[in-house]
Amino acid sequence: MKYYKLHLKKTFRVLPVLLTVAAVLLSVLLVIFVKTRDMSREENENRFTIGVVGDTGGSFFQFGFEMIKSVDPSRFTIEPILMDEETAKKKLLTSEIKAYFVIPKGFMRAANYGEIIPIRYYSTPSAVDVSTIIKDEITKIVETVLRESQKGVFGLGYLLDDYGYEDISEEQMDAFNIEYIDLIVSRNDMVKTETAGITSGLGLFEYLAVGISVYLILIMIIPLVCSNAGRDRSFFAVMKSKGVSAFRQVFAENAALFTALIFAVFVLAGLPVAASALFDIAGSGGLKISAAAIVFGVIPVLILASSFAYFMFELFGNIISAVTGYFFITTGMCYISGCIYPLYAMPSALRKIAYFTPTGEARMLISSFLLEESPTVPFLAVMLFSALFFALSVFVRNRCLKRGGA
Amino acid sequence: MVIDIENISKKYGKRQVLTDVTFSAKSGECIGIIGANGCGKSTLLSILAGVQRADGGKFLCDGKDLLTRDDLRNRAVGYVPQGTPLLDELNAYDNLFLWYDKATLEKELAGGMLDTLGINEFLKVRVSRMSGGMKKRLSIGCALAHYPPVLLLDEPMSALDIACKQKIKDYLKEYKTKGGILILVTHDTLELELCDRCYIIKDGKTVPFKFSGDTEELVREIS
Repeated sequence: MKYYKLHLKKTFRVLPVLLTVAAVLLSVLLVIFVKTRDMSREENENRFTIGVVGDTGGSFFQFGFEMIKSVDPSRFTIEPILMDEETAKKKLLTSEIKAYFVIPKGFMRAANYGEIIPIRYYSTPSAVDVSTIIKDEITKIVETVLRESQKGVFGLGYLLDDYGYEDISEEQMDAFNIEYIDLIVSRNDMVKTETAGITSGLGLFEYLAVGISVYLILIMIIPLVCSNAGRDRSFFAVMKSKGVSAFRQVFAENAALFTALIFAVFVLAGLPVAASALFDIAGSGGLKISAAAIVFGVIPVLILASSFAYFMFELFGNIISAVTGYFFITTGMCYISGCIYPLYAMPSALRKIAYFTPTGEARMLISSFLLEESPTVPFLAVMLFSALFFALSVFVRNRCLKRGGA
Repeated sequence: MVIDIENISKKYGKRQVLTDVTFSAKSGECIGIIGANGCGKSTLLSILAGVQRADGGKFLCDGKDLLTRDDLRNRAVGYVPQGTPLLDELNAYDNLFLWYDKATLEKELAGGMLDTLGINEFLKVRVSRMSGGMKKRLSIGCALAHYPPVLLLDEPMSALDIACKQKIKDYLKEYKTKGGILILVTHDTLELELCDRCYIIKDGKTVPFKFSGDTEELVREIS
């Protein structure tokens, strides 16, 4: 306990440096957030280009496209472009289109007989909001068409009455209406939405906020652990000779690092929250983190960050190689795990690797709280990685002590 | 108090560093361990301090084997390794506070052994800003917590100026006169003057050696 307290005191000595580094990084982060928010707003005011793929030969479709093009241009305009599916996939991943529909073969023929073959709709996580808007708009179009069509059904009833078919008109009207209701009800299955990439559900703002926050934590920990690199190991030998095992030494040092990190993060976390409240930086749909997300999401990520950073700095022989090595390893790992660049735009092989990186699991753990999904798997993975890095640190310390602390 | 070191052996991979290290000492004695670089002097001290495990042998203190009794060894042995076993970012007081309880620390600083070592002069100085002599005195001060009867020192006066060496030497003499046992690994003839008996480690074994003050003779014996 005494060792933990003294180590904490030692770690807190670099707090001004940490706060300076963190403030600079946080400023960069805020600029990215503001730019992202502005881009999102611009997107909302711009035309949405949507790819249309598949069986689009019918003249009825051409009529439909014209209708969509004419929808309320003061708010937004959807521009459908016909293309093949391969081109659509490429354009979606490079953000040239916001989404694409795949019209299945024989769709129109089936629809004419009241059968539904679902249209598949593909979007990216960043275009989820756009997807909702498009679906709402399509629903409104379908609603209007159907309402007008039902007026036609009632008109037909009046026509039957006028021509002296009163005795059968009521029965025929019931039959028409039942057929009609069947058709409307089954139209609910008309569109199936699928989201490209493995981070389904998060918008670009949330996605970047979570990913860059994980990266920021790993970078701002550097001032806290850099004194660990190239330390005089004879101190550990003396500790061992006084009965303090390698496990207890590493545990106390890790605990002190974690405490300092948690203090720094929660002090700093207050700044963007306050700034967000004052200047509406995060926007109305900004980050909303619950107490459960802090306890089971943020804290495990901080445990992982401290055990990872501790291990890396324990491993390197001197401060220069430790700082540069740690920086490049962390940046590379954050990149391939999709923390600093959207994962869905990366090759599928990298996406699979992201599942097995500590930073990828950390990002997914925090994301799971924003998406209100079960955090169990990423939580266990994060804790497992933390335990692994801790065990490796104990191993390195033990190896050092077996050489007499040299 | 009597200590007996019997047949200590240690192997690093295939390399046998120590084969049969045997000697004994009683209260108030200082034993000097000398030898060529890499002969196993520091390894011997780290085994006696409990940092490394010996492959065989005993370290008896009044008949009890300290190599198998960690609790007894922690109290009986103080260890000052070759490097700087201190927390660089903290001051002298904080470093001492790790090993002493507050009351004992205050007592030792006010006229006790820490005062004799002159630690009061730099109590609030951060280790990273201390001179080599200050660091060494502070290291010895830390090792003396709980008054260990056996003090193991690995080249305590290397790279220090003459005045500083003298200060440490004076303190170690005082420690001896109070009944402490010193085991000193050294290359320094000034340190050898402190020793009542010396041993050279040759081929992993301890060979008794009487230092007459002739450095050339010492070099011949070691090589």
